[in-house]
Amino acid sequence: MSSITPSPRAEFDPIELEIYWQRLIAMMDEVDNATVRTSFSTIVGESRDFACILVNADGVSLCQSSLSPPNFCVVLPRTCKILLEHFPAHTLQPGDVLCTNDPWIGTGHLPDYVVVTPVFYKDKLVAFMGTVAHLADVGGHAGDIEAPDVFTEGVCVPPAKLYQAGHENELLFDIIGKNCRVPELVLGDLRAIVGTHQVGSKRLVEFLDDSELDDLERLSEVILTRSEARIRQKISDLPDGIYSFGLDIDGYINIVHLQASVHVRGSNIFVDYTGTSPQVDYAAINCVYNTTYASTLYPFKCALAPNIPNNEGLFRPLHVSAPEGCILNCTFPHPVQARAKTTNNINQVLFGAVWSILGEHAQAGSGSIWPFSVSGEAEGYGRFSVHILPHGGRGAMRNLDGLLPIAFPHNSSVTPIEIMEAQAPLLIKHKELLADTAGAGRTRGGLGQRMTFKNIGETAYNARVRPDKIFCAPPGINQGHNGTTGTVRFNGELQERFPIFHFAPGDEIEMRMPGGAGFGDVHERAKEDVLEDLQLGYISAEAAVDTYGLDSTEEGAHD
Amino acid sequence: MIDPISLEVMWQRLVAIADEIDTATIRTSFSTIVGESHDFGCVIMDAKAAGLAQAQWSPPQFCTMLPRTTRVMLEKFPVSTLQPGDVLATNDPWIGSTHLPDYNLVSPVFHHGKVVAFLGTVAHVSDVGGHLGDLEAPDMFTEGTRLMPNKFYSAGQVEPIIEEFIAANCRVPDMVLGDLHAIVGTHRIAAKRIQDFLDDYNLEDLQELSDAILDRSEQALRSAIRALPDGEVDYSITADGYLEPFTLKLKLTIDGGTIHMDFVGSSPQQSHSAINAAFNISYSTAVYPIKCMLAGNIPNNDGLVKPLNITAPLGSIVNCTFPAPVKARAKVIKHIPPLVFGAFEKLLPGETIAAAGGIFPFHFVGVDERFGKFAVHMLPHGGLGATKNADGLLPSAYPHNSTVTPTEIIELQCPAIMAEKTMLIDSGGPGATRGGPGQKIVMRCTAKKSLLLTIRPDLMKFPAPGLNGGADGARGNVFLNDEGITRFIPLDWHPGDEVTLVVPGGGGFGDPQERTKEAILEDVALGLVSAEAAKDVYGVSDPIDVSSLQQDALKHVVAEQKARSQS
Repeated sequence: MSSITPSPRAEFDPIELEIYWQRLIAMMDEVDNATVRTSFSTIVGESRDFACILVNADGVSLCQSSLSPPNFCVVLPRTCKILLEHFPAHTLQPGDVLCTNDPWIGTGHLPDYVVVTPVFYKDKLVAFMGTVAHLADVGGHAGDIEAPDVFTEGVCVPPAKLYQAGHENELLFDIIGKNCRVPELVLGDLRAIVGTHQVGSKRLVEFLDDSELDDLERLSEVILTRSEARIRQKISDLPDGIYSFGLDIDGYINIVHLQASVHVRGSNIFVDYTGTSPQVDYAAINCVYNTTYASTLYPFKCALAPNIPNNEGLFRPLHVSAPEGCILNCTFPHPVQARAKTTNNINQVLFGAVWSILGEHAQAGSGSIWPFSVSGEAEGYGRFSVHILPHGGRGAMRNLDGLLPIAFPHNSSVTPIEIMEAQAPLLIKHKELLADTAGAGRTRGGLGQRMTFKNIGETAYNARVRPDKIFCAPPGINQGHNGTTGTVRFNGELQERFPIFHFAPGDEIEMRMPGGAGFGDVHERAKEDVLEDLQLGYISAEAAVDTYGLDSTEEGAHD
Repeated sequence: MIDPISLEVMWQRLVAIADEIDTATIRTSFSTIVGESHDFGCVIMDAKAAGLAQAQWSPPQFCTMLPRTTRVMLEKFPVSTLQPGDVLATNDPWIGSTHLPDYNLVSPVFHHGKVVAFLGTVAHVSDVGGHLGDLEAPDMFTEGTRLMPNKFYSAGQVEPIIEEFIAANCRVPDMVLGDLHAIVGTHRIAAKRIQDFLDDYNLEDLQELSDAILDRSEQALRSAIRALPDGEVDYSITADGYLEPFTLKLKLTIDGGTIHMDFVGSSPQQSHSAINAAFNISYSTAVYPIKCMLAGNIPNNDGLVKPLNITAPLGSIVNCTFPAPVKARAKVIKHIPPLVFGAFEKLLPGETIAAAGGIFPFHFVGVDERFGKFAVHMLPHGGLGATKNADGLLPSAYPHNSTVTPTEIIELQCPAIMAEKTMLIDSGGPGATRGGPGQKIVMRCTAKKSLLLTIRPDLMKFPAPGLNGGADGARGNVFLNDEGITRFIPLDWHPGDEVTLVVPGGGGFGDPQERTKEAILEDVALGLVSAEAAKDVYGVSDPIDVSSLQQDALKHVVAEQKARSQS
């Protein structure tokens, strides 16, 4: 008697599709969760500077864990395809793990390792588990923004097999470990990631067993085509036209100009960055194309298909070009470590161009991310390297005040003070919202925050700060006011350049992070909202009167 | 038992083989630092990795360190696991020659299926990634990429991961991999020469010969040490360092046929400047002056280090711990020979040499439409120290064997021209014998866009000390467009900019008042000493007519040339 073999499924009904799709996402969430639970570093475990993506057998992304930073998810399948050029799919075997941190192949700077594991089902390669994670150290100078080239920034591992048939590539582990300051953290994180891929692979095999599928081919096809069709529909609804905007951003030492031209045509969107400033060879603020591409897609995805889980089908109608050699498509070996200084502003130049057609989804300028880290050695702490990723306030949207300091355009979380203080001889003296930092508008920007760090150890160590918007404020939209610029003070003294600080005992670093920008005419803001802001201490009485035009005799105006 | 004549013949043949490696390295290397500056060493080791012979031009420290490095690599890759065509490599500063640019490559030599020798080369390659700086670094990670002992080649096949990793992490991959592959090629030649050698003498291996060379060398050095009076002497030198000066202290003890040297009391390692020396280089640099004084004619081999016992406190600037920054360790170790000589002067008067004016390494990195991507190094030196019987040499390498990259080579490889290269008057330390004069070098940038220039001067605060009453040499200096520089981070060198190196003079030996008037006047005629210095420093009381002295000297030179052309 022959057993019943399920025939290849031609189509999935909507309920089945949703269940399968959600199960794949849940599976990646489990990979994600395992990463947090097994990682060694704060930047992976606490700051969540990593992403977990499921990629189909062709290297096309299918889904990601819910909390993964969106940029990583857009780039990883691109990296995966290049890894497969070096190690073709038919040469791979169970237990192989591929990796690279090449900025031009991966996510645009050396600390981000891309790790990809093929998943086999019934002897056939059916998918890849992919993780991008920002590791705690890759050697190189201890600096950040000031660098002449990528060689200064650390060690590059070209596409390589991290594991071969389940065996650790000892040579590669040796190379990576011996070229970083905290090998336990870095190798620990890499091994943890490989372990999470095993968990994910096991779940995927179970899924295929349960769903009686031989592979992900058909399911993948359906997810991708449906997602693509959906976003194309939304794009077709937008008025065709060319929308342009130019924005000056801080850059480093010199102001940088971003110029975007967004061409909406039928169901496609073409974004071109001609007119953007050229790459620089004195500051690590250059973006490789991959990061520009990802940062460009993200705001459109958020505005046009906010409810569809990320997958490559959503990317297909979006086309991005940037002249080679401009700061948004830099060439090897330009320095790239601090490319977020530039990419974080891409959404703002895009929203500036297309806010009028995106309705409630456009967002005014945000206060940006201000990475802060300390590293060194101290009694009681050993050798430490701790990063945090605090943010300024978010920009306002048409119907929503900007959120209080929260990650954007990242998903990274803020490392709790307790974790930082436990890992380094550091005291966080202040962490507070700053009144009157938000840009006024019909909807108000989110408030900026102040953080003050003090070295309470007995020896000096290194501290790094990478502020943004200390010269160019977050831009408001549709008459909304700009947010405020930020400041960094070292022992009270205002700083304009940010090489490594020699952080001696008793020294203090104060960061005042910018507030987000406002949206719409300030005079249209509801009076009760102004009064509430006043009561919450978000705005001062002067601002309520002078900026928002609150009648100074109004009840509550002087509370 | 090998008879003395056969021993000498065989020994010299080994040295000749090492020389052939050396020549082949120069002829096949890709970079100026290997090909022109000669910043590499070639060593033949026996099957136990004891140093047996070196190329005559090899820098002495490399040859003392390399067997130590090899023995550590063999712990990871035991001899029994090696096969023909394997090449071991590392640039780890604590295992190798103590800074990242120095790659150590070691190949086993097989004869009749058995390892009979190791060929080793240490070469300073052009780039290992890392920051472009030199002196200012918080740790070794900043200074570039590190490869722990590995098999660069397995059975004749290059390890692709190593090759790709090196290529991905240096600015001039063609040059660096070119040099490394060239070295592997030279080892293949030398392996064949050693096999021929064994065939010619019908030997199964080198062990008997090696034992003879090592034992005889050791005995020769021990008997020279026994001839010295037992006792203990101290000496110390304080030098520039970088952001802060440091002091080296040496306690030297002669005890029968053994010399103990202890660096106890020397300054601690520094976490802000890359001047820290790992032990290997301190050891090999301390060995070198003793070898020069007591066994000057014996070709270098590991027998000559056995009677020497060297110690340095862990964590001191001459025995730094991982991951201290180490790139510019020459700033410290170049003061070890004068330290050893200074101590020895009390034991063996007249056999020592005063301190030299040091080395001012500089290099250019950049891209230019005419020259492409370039990385050019040059190692100019100051004057040498004086000895009891001889004035210090004109600027030449010490304690290195590195050569000065010719002006023509530099000008062919990068957009810079040598605007001036002159001896500096009154820069040699006065003494009964005078220190060698320093030199002035002026380079002008002819590029269309700025390039990066790294300079590492020394002896700008503390000059090269004289010995036995001799005076110090002149201090060094660096100017960018006539403005003095005191911090040596990589400089943006703009088109038309001029950089001036004032490389110091060597120390003098003995009381200047004892210098012969004839020698002083010759110095004046040659422009090495001014009339004022002849009077004020050397105490020449008669009036000096500089131009007539120079005329006489010129006549003398012309006459000599005539005589030479007639004969």
